[in-house]
Amino acid sequence: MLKPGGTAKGTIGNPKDQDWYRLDSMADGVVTAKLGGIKDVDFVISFFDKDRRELKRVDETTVGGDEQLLDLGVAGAYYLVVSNKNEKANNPTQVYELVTKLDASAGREREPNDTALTAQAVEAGGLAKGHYWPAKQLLSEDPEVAEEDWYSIEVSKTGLFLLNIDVSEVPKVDAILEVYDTNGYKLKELDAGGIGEGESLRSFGVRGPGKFQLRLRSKYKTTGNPDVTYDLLTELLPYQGATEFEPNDQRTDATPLELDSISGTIAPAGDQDWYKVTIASETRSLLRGELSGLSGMDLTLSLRDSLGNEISFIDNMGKEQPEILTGWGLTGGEHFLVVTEKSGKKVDSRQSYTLARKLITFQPGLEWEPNNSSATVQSLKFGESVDGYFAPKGDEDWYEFNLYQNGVVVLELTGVINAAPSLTLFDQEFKELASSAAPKPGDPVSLERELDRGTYVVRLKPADPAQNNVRDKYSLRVRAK
Amino acid sequence: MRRLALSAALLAAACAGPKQAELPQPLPPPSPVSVLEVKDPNFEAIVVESVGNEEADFVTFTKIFVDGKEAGKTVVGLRSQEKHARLKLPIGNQPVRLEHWFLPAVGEWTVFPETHQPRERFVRIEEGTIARLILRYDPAGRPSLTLSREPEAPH
Repeated sequence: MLKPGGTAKGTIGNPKDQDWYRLDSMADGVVTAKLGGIKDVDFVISFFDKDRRELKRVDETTVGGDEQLLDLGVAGAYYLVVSNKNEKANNPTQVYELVTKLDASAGREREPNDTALTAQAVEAGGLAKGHYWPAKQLLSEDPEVAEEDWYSIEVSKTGLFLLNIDVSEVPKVDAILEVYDTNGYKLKELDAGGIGEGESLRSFGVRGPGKFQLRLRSKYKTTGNPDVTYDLLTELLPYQGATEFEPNDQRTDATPLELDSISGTIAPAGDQDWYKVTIASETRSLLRGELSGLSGMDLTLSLRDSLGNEISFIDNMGKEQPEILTGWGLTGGEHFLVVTEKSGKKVDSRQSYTLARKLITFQPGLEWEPNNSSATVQSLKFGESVDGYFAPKGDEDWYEFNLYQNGVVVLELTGVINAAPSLTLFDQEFKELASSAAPKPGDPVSLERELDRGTYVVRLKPADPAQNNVRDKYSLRVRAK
Repeated sequence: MRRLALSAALLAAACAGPKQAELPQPLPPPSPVSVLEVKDPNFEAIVVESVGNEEADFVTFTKIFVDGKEAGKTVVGLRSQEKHARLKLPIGNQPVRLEHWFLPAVGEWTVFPETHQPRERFVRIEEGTIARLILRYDPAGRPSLTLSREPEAPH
C-alpha cells in the first residue's frame, strides 16, 4: 500500500522480482512516480488500473538508471509495479526508493492519453501542462512508436468559431501538433518550429457543434523531456468575419471576404490563404485589394476567377512592403484573392497581415483592367479622358477610340512618378502610326497626328516593365487640336 | 427585370455543374441556321456564343448598324448556333455596331444590356474582299470582337 505522495522502499531480491504497490486516491489528481536507480538493476515501472490492466510503462534508462512516470491521472485504486529487466542482476540488499507526488489535476495532462480513444478532454480557453515523456510508447503494438498526447476539444454551441492553439517550447523537443475531426481525418499538421521551439495555430476555423482532437508529439522518436512541461493553451472565439477561417488553403475552403478588411497569418510554411469576393449584382465594379507588409516576409497577392485560374499576380514590392491590386474590373459572380509568402519557406503565426478590399462602381473615365492587349482593349470616347495605373509590374494599357471626322488628334498622357511611359498609336489594322516616349520617369508625354476617320488604338507602356506606381494615376486624354 | 433575367440566365451558364449528378449532358449538334443571302457580299458578321448548359441555350439574334443605321441582322437561333449575316456595304471605312438581342422565357425580344454589347468600331470595306467581323461571347456573357479579311469568292 502506498499513499499518493508517499515514498516506498524496497529491494530487488532476484532478477525476476516484481514489487506491486497499491495506490489509492480518493480525489482526482495527477501522480508522479520517481524511482532512484541502484547498481546492477535495469528498472521498469508500470502503472496498472484497479482491474490490473496496464496503462503505462516506462523504461527509458539502462542498468543503474533512474526511471520516472509522469502525469498519471488517478481517481480511485491503481497499482505501481517495479520490476527489473537485467537477467544477471545480483543486488538483493541495496534499497531503492520509489517517491510519489500527488498534484491537483486541474490544468494538467492525465496519462494515459496516448491514443485518439483515450484523448483527454480539455476546455477551450484552458491550459494543460504535460510532458513529452516517456519517449517511447512501450504498450503500443510497435514499442518503438514515440509517445503521443491526445486531447479533445468539444465545441458545444452552434456556429462558426476560430480555434487558436499555442504549444510552448520545450528544450530538446521538436513538437508536432495535429488537429483531427471526429471521423479521424487529419485537418491540420503544424511543424513550423524546430527543436526547442513552440508551435502556434491561429484562426483555425471550426463548425459547432463538433468535437476535435489534438495530437501532440515529439518529431524524433527518442527525444523527450521529463524536466520541462509543455503548456498547451487553447482559445475558441466566435467567428465574426474579421480574420481568416483556416483551413482556407484552396478555392473550395476560401474564407468569405465580406467586411472591408480581414487579417490572416502565414503558417505553416507554404501557407496559401484564399479569400472569396462575391459580387451579387451585375453592376460593373472595380476591385481594389491592399495587402499589408509583414516583418521578414515578402507577400504576394493573386486574383483568381471563379474556377481558381489566376488572372492577375501582384508582386510589385519587396520584403516587408505592401502589395496593391489596383482597380480590376469585375461584373458579378465569385472571385478569389490569394495571399502567399513568396519563398514558401517563411512562417510566423504571431504576426498578422491585413487584406483590405474596396469595390468601386465603375464609371466612364476609369481604367477597366484587364486592358493589357489588343484583345482586351478598353474603349475611350473621343474628347474624353481616362485615369489608370501602371500596375502591377509589366502592365501595359490599351485603349481604343473612334474618330468620326478627319482631323488633327492630340494624345496627352500625364506624368507619373517612377514610370517613363511610351505612347504608341495604331490604326484599326494594328499598323503602328506614331510613337512618343517620356524622357524620364515622372514626365508627361504627348503625340499629335492628322488622322482619317476610323478606329484607333493607343498603347501605354512604361519603358521598363519593372516601373510601376500603385499610388498615382495617370490620365490619358484624346482630343481634337 | 429583363436585365435580371439575362443575368440569371448567363449566371446559370457560367456557374452550372458543381454536382456530378446534375452535370449537363453535351448539347446535341445545332441544326443549321439559314443564312440571309445577298448578292456579292463584302461584309460578314459572325456571332459565336459559348453556352455552358442547355438551360442557358435561349434564342438570340444580332442587328448590324452601319453609320448609325440598321443595315441588316442575323437569323434567329439558339445561342449555341453560330449565326451569320452577309451584307453588301458601301466601299470605305464604315463605323459598324452590332447589337445583340435575346428572347426571355417569358416576354418579348430584349436587347442585351450595355455591359454585354460590343463596342462600335470602324471596318474598312474594300473592293474584292470580304471583311469578317466576329463577335464572340464567353460563358460569362463578355463580348469580344475580331476582324479578318478574305478575298471575295470567285463568281
